[in-house]
Amino acid sequence: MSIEVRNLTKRLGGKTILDRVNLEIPEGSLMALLGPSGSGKTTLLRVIAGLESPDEGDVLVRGESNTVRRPQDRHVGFVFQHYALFPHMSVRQNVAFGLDVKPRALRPSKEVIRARVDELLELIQMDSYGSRLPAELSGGQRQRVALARALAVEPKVLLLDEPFGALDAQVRAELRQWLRRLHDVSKVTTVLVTHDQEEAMEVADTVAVMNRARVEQVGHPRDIYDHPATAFVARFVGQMNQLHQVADGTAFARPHEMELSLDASEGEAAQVVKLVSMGPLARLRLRLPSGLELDAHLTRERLAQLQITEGTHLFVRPGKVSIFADDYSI
Amino acid sequence: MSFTRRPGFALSTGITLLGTSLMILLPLAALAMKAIHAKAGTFGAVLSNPRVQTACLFSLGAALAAALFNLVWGSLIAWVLVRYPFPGRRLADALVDLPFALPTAVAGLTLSSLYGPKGWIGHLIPFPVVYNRLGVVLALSFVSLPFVVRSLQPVLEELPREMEEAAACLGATRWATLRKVVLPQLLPAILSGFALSFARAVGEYGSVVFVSGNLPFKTEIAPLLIVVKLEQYDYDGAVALAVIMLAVSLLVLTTIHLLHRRFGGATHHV
Amino acid sequence: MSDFRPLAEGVGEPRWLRRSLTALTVVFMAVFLLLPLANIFHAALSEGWRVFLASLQDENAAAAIRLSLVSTAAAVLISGVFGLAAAWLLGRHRIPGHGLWVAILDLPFAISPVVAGLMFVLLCGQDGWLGPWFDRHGIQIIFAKPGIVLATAFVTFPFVARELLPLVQALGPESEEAALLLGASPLQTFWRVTLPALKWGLIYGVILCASRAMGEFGAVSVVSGHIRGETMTLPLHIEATYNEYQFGAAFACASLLSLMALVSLALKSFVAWRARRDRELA
Repeated sequence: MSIEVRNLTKRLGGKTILDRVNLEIPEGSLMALLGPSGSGKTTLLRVIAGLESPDEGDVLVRGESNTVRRPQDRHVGFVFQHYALFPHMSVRQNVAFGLDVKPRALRPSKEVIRARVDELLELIQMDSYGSRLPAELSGGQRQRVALARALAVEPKVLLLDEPFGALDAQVRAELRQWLRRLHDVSKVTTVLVTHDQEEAMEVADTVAVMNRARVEQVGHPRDIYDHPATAFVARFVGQMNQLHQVADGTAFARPHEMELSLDASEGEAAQVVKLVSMGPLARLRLRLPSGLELDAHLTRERLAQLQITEGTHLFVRPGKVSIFADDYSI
Repeated sequence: MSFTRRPGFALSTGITLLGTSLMILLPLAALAMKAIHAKAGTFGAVLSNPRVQTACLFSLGAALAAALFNLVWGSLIAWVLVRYPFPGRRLADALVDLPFALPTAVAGLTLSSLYGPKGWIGHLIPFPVVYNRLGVVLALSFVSLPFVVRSLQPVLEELPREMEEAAACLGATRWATLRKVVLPQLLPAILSGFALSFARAVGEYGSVVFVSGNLPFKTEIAPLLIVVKLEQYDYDGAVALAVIMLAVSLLVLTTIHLLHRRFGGATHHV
Repeated sequence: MSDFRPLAEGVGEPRWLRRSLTALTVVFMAVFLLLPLANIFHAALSEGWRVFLASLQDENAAAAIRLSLVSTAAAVLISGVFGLAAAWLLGRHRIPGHGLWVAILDLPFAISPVVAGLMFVLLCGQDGWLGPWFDRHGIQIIFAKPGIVLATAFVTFPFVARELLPLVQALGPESEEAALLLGASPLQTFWRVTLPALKWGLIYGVILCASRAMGEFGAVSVVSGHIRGETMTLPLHIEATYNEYQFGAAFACASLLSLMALVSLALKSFVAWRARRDRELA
């Protein structure tokens, strides 16, 4: 189901949480809303779900206004950061809840519900946990149950609010891949809110970067990284060196775009103050005579070629520079 | 069992054990000894006395009615205080504790005048309230009103809103959400408040003597009968009644403890 | 009290229902709680200021006020000292029979005040366990002031302990251990680390205890013997004047107690607010 967010504004207690936000989420895609805390991404998700009402603007689903509908009638699946499972119900009862509360005329028979729950428990690989209470599960298991509960009613849109935010790094990585596989199979239009750029880059088809109540850039993960539209996006997504002021703004360069050389004719003098070499990449911290510090990433081979150690004096030049108009909001 | 000895351990142990023994256990033992040494057949005689039976049944019935009254109104007050912001909410919240702060004799005095035939409320009501059973239930309801509110309020405040939002997104109507998601989680707290309210009402004396008229076979409650028996130097009778009341209190207290143990530590981030 | 942001339209109750329930609650509380309170002051002053003041200056009323104050002070002291010791012991140590000791603390709440009074009559009265011993030493407990103090202390006994126990458990032993390791003596540790951390809880417990002690009726009534000017506390004095149809005098004394109740409510709100603020700042 395609979603179109039009000119959405939401204020709360004198603060503007969403400021004329426009966004289009194509049918069947998985979009990540990426941004620091307080950027409005969760509120945007909640407005789409109908859990908050906007002050201005509209949310269209397949061209039809959705803001007039109650959350009950929007057919969205919502997964909360802290799971929000019903603590007094077993895993089975939690997953079946959305089917159990359907109006009698639309409610599937007991057997159909049972079969559907079995199918979902298998999907989340928790077939043998049906009779457990949520309190008896680990965080990762709870979030899988929450997902199954949301999927049980076959939502047209799946909304995930920092679903892996409360979990350990390892469980996060596993669930992330699992979510991506799930989406490839189900093709339900999905919006994932996260403040973790790695998560957004790895899972999503499209990333929308949010900052201070606005969407700064929408695009493919690689485009966001390679062609950031604003200084904020450049610095928030991946590492970025802030170089110097130019006429129309500030120059930035990625650490892996920094070209190092022992030849004085190629760039500015700098000294290596820190060197961390792990895996295929070496990470260097350079200090210029002006006091400016820059990060540079280079391959192990190049490192060996230049015979760089901590303290080495060398010359540095940015291979590719991006210039952004000064943004005082950062 | 391991002891972690700290400075002051001996002193605090001494004060605690001495205090508990002198103030609580010794008086209890005196009652127990008196009950054990009572003349054979005293208990049977007291229990088969129709006046005693009427008073005990009325005490239980009136306390139950008061606790039910508080179950309904206390739950409503707690819900509104937590969920619906309105001007004066903090004042209303402080007012909930009034029945605890107001001496029971004062409560009884003002209720008897307020609901009496010439009172502000009493003169509007076509049937008598004070000096009959309704008045007793009224007084018991007043003095035990805060229990349900105060045991429900913190649980309600801790209930995450996401739970109800999740239910709504899953298509549940508000009524279904309240019935299937909210109520089951509040029930232990409501029941615990109900039990506390009942326990308090069963033992209440001060406010009732003012509104009941203390009529045998009509508005006489068990605690009042204990006082009557004492005034008649019928110690065995008083002790027998006291033991029954104590048993009821302990039963309720145990129920509350079990409720807490069963549901007390439930975490909400699940 | 935290602020709950209303749920979205469609998720929460409809606005008309929220408004009606709020209105219903406000009206109920006004009629059921506020009117009885207003009635006390109205009735106390209905016969004029002169009668009001005379009722409070009456010799027996003054004696009752004094006795109430003395027994309240004693009850607060007993509950306070015991509460600090018991809360610290039970909150910090696992002593044998721990659960039982905590449960015993609840007993005075569960026992009817009348039964409590009766227990002291059976213990210290003439036919009681210790009665003959007290008699031989010329000490009268029951139907005398010591009995009033004892009965009052019994019903308020666990107030402070109950208030402090969860605080001691939440505080944990770390700060005390740190103080001891830094070279503070146990007494210094208590005064400068433990007590300040429990300050608001202690004050809260004392307010609850004093307010209950001031108004205790059932237990005191049983042990008092109702001797005018001797063994009558203020609540008992109210009953006596009421039974003699001196309604003005009864309400005058009642208004005094109500005023104290209102002060205790205000203090409680203030202390709860300060304690919350301290917690948030910490």
